[in-house]
Amino acid sequence: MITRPSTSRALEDVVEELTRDIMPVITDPAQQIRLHMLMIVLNDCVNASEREISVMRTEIPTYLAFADDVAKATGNTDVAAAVAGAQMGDSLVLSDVIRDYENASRAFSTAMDLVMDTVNRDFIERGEALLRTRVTNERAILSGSSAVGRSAS
Amino acid sequence: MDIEHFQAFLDAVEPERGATVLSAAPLPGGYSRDTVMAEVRWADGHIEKFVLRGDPPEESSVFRSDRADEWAMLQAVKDLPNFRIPTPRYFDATGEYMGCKAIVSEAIDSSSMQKYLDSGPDLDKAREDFVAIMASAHNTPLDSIDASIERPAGWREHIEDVIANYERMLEIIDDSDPVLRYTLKKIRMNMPVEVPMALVHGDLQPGNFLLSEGTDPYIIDWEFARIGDPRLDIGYYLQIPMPPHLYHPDPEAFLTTYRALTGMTEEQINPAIAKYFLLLGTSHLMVDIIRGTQDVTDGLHRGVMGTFLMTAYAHFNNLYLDYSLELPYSEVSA
Repeated sequence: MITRPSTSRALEDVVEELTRDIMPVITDPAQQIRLHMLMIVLNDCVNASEREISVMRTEIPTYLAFADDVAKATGNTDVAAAVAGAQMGDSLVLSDVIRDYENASRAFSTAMDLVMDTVNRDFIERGEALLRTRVTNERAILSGSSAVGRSAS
Repeated sequence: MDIEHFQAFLDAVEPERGATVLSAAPLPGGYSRDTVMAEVRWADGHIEKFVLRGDPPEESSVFRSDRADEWAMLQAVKDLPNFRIPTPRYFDATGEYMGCKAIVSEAIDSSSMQKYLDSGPDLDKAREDFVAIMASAHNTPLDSIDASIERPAGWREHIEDVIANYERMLEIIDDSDPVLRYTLKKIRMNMPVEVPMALVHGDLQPGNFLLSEGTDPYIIDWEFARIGDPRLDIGYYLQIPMPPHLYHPDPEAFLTTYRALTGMTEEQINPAIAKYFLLLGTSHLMVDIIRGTQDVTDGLHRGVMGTFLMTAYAHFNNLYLDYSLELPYSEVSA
C-alpha cells in the first residue's frame, strides 16, 4: 500500500485545489454553492477516512456489553437473541464493520426499548450515555469541516 | 425552465397576449425546487416578472413534494384575507412545456424578512411581527379553505401519521439507528394535549416571508403545507439555524404573543411543548434526508444533496437526542 499521502491527506489536497484554483473561476452563484457543498462532503470524507472504522469498532463492544447486561439482568430472551446474533467479527473491511455496527446497534435498541418500557433508571442512564457518545462521534466526523487537520503524510 | 421552454408555455397559455420572454435566470439557494426568475414583455409593452418553481430531475432530487399539491394549496389560500401570497398565475401540470411540472407566480418587488433581520432591526419588534404572520396563517378558518385540501380525520390520527415518520425513517435504514428509535419512544411517551387543527405551512421561517413596501407581508414556499397541528410550524422554526433567531433568546415572550393571538393555552403551547414539536415538525424532512442518503448507499445518484445531507442527518440526530433526552419517562409506554 502507498501510505504517503494517506487517503485523508489526498482528499484534503483535493479540497485545497478546489478552494484555491477552481472556486475563484466559477462565476455562476448556483455552481459556486454546489461546489461549496461538495467541498463540505469531501471534508466529511477526510474525517471519516481517518476514523470511521475505529469509531465503529470502539462503539460495537459497548452496545453489545450493554445489551448483554440487560439480557442477564432481566432474563429477556429477545434481547439475549439480539446479542447472540450481533457478535463482532475480526474483519476490518469497511463493509463488514458496517454490518457488525448495524447489528450491534439493533441489539442495543432492543435492550434500550426494554429498559425504557420498564423505566429501569440505571440502565437508562447508561444507555443514554452511549447514545450521547454515538452522536458526539457522528458530529465529529460529519461536521462539514476537516477535524483531523493535515496529516503528517 | 429556460427562455425557450417558458416562451413555448406562454405561447400556449396566453396566445393572444404576444409574450416575449426576455430573461430566465436560476435563483440560487433553494434546496428542494428549481427556481427561476423570468422577465416577460407582453405585446402591449407591459413588462412583468415571474417566479417559476419546478421539480428538479428525479435523479438529482432529495426532497419530495408534489407540484400539483402545491398548486392546489396555492389556489386554496390565494384569496384568503388573513395573509398574502404572490399570485399563482400558471401551472404546467404535466411538464409538457417546461420540461417538468412547474408553477408560475407573480414576482414580488420585495426582500425577505431574513434579509431584514440581517440589517440589525429591533428584534423584539421583529419577533412580534414574525409571530403575527405565523398566527395569521394558523388562524385561517378551515372552512374558508377549499374542500379539495385534505383534512385528517382527527387530531389523534394526524399526530399518529406525523409520528409515523420515525417509523418510515427506521424502515428505510433497516432499524439501524438507535437515536431515532430512542426519539420515537420518547415521543410516544409524551403525547401532547390536543389543539384545533389549522393551516400548517411546513417551512415557516423568516426566509419565506417577503416584505414589500406599502403592503402586508407575503408568505411563500407552500410545498409542505397541509391541514394539521399548528405547533408543527413552531417546532420547525426552532431548528432554523440562520441568525438572528426570534425564538431562542426569549421563548416565553415568543409564546406569550403566540398564545394571545391564537387563543391557545399555556398547557397547549409552552417551551417544553415547542421543543417536543421540533421532533415532529422536522420529521417530514428527515424522512427525505434519510431516503436520500439510503439512495446514495444503494448506488443511486441524487445530486450533491444526496451526500451533502449526511451532514444534515448528523445535525438532526444531535438535535433529536438533545431534545428527547429532556422528555420525561412515563411508567407505561405506548
